Amino acid sequence: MKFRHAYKIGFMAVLAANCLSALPCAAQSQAPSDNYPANTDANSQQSSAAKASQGNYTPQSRADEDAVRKDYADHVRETYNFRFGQSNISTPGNAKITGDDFVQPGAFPTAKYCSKCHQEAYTQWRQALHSNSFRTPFYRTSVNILARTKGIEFTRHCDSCHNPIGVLSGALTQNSQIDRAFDEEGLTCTTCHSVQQLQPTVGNGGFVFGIPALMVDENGNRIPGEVPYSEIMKHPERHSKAVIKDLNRTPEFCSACHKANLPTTLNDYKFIRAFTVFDEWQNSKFSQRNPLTFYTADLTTCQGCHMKRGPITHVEFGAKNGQFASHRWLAGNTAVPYYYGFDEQLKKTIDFLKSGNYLNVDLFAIKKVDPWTTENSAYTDGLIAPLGSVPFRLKANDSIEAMVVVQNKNIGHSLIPEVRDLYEAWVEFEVKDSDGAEIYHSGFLQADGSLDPRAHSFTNRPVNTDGQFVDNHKVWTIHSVAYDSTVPAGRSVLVRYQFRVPPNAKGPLKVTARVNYRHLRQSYLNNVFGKDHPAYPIVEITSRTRTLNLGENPAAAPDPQDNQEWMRWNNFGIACLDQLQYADAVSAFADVVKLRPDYADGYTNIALTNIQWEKYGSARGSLEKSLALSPGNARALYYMALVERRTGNADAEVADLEKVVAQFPRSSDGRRELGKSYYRQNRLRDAKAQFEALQSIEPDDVAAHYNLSLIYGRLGMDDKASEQAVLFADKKTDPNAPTYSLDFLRAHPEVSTESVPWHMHKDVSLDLAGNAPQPAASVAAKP
Amino acid sequence: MRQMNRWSIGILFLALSFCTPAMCQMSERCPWLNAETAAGMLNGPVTFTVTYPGEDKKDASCEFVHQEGAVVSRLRIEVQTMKDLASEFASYAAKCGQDATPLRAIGNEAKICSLHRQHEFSEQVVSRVRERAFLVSVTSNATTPAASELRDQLHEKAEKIAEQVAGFLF
Repeated sequence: MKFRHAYKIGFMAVLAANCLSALPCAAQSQAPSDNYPANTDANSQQSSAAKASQGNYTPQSRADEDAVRKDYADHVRETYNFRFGQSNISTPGNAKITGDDFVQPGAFPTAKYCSKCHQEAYTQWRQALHSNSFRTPFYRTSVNILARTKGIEFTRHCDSCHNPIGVLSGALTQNSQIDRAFDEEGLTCTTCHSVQQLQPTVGNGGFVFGIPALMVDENGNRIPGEVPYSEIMKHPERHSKAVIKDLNRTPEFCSACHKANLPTTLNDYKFIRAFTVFDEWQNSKFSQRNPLTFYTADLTTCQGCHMKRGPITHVEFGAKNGQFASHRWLAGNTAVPYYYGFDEQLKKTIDFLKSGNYLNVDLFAIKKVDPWTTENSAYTDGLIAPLGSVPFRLKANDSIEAMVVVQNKNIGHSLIPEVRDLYEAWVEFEVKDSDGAEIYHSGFLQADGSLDPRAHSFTNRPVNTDGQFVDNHKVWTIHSVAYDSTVPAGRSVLVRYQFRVPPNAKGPLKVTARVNYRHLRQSYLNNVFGKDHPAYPIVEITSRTRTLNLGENPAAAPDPQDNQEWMRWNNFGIACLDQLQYADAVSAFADVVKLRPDYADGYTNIALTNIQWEKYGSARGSLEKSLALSPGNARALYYMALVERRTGNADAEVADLEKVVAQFPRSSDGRRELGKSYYRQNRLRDAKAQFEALQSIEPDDVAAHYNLSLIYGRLGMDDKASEQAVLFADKKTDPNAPTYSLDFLRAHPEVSTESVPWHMHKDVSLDLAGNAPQPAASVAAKP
Repeated sequence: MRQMNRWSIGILFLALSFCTPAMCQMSERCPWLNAETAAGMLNGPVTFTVTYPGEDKKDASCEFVHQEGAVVSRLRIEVQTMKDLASEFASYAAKCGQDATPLRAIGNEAKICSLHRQHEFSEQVVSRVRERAFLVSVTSNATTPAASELRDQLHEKAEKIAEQVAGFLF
């Protein structure tokens, strides 16, 4: 009997199946509200779920909200790809939400809902990068490759920041059946304004959302979902309490996404640092957390530059005195507003890039060089510097080495930050005669729109295991970085150009150096659109032109945009230091203290150069002068501690570093070195405290992992020791990785030369056989 | 023994009955847009068909239909790979006729046009991402709201869907 019953059911089912398959494969899909909840006992829950899926989520109670979410999550879990385990639904990213479970997209009220009272914010946001974080072709081109080649589940890494609703709703899984209407809002209002706490600053979406709530009740409890506008108007303070937290104003808030790494779960290789603009800020003068900066400044957070308050032009209930914090987050991206036709955003972005006195370009010096040799001794005159302040003579046929100093003066992070494989900043250097005829040009655009490959660019070249440039931002294939050129916050770079004044040149000559910026590099734009796309904007961030007479060049009054003379020398010294030209750096800093004998940092700069040069005795003398001028100066004390360490004065070393850390408790360098000093003195608990503090500042610091693995082990804390040892092994640089870089550099000599700290850009070959100079468009590196 | 065999056959039939439609459905998902997103756009549950013009299944056409009484809403998506972009896209784009309006920020380039037949309004986007041309058409025979409002709604939906499709094709 049982058999007959089963047989009949089976037979009927097969018949039905065959009937279905005989049809032109029509399938019935129902709206998600009908697919769940699985528990259909409560009609009210079903109704809420239906609303949730449409974005009109107004639960009546916390219990109701929890039930709807649970049903939704249970439904998603049935088909979700838990490739990385069930513990974190966003792995390989870090996005989190209260309850560590899926949440229905409709739980996030849309920006349109918010726009009723926040039209200014909405208007700005709609044109800003955050609202377009997912949908732009520039992003999709790259993330689609990841989805197609490795699987959509891997895109949770990128989308933890670019599309967190997609991640946390469980939409990023094979054959997801979730309405993707939220894609167009990217980082919508109720993502940032739902962050309740921050994870340690590891990035990749290091935030924890609460279930979005726009009101709190009279007891301060969050009320999830949309609420009637009238309620908000009745209790605006409760609305503010629900959507604004103190953490929104901190740089750590931004670090949740403006810091990224490539974890093993993504690349099946090992941890690789991707970018860390937050730590760049921490190390900048604007954080006031780092005692080692070359210059000082008032405390300025990320929001201080990128969310400046301005007058409103639309209804905005969040404005105070007619001013509102910008929700445009102006920065460097011109590509997105250009693509979407957001002209206002584009104009403001360009104005922002040009307006901030962010960079200083200094045509600092020239040298006249004997064209028949490349040796230093062949310079016919010494350094003629700073240009404008000293007289000199120039004539036809002179071979000139021009030195351009680019100072990252007021950016709170590197130039350029984040993904230097896509963004493109470079120095354009041009020499023209009085007729406008070009004598030398570096950093031009080629006919196909790509940049002169020998230009001095602030870009990088990540490479894969084949030693090939990782094009299309396929970051999961990166194994090494063959070249990475930047100007860290507060530092300077020296770019050298060599050209010859033609015999028939008509003076005076005009020499111009510019820093240009393009978002994005041409080859990536070609990857996105094919080659038939319009030219994307190039912004000249800053430039400096000087006139060089053929004949006498008297000293002239400085241009208002020029740095003061001592600072010009100082920046030149910093640039020489970073190019490992220690003698030149010491000489430059000596000029600084000649001009400003009261400037303690000038002596410290001499000292730190000597420390790198391993001239500790000289360094001590300079530091003593610095400390005499500025007793207790943390920067000088830090370097003095390094000198004391070298000379075996452990107690003095510790005493100096303790003073540094007391003044700058968030100094990663101070904590790291003090931890090492304590460790050497066998003060394990003190050392442990320093390295743990260091991890709270920079959770990925490899020195902290390494030392804590030893210290925990010696303190009998074996589990923690093992944990730190594993993290150290994962995060330290793979010693084999540079071989991939070498393969790339061998195949790209123009980049290889650029990767050497000291290198020369020149347009003539210096023929040692005595032949006339030939155009070579080559660059040469100094050994 | 005989009973065991019968049981096995029954179980086999059962297994087949569950597997067959599922497999059919699996192969029938529209590559460019999931049914729930389409349902969201058409304001209700949809049925859909997917057809592949070629063996490689690189290109496809999807049609989603939502019916509520006499009112039928359709969403059609076609994707076609062009061998010669310069010559082929112009003729592809002609599907929109001469009154098409250029659309910004959909694929490499895009146009939108209104195609109205008796009792039926349709908004159509023709676009391309690199060498892949695509068409999105949203159609409704609804009598309310008023024609101009309905047209605006369809226009907005067509644009949004076109953006989704382009996003997938990039």
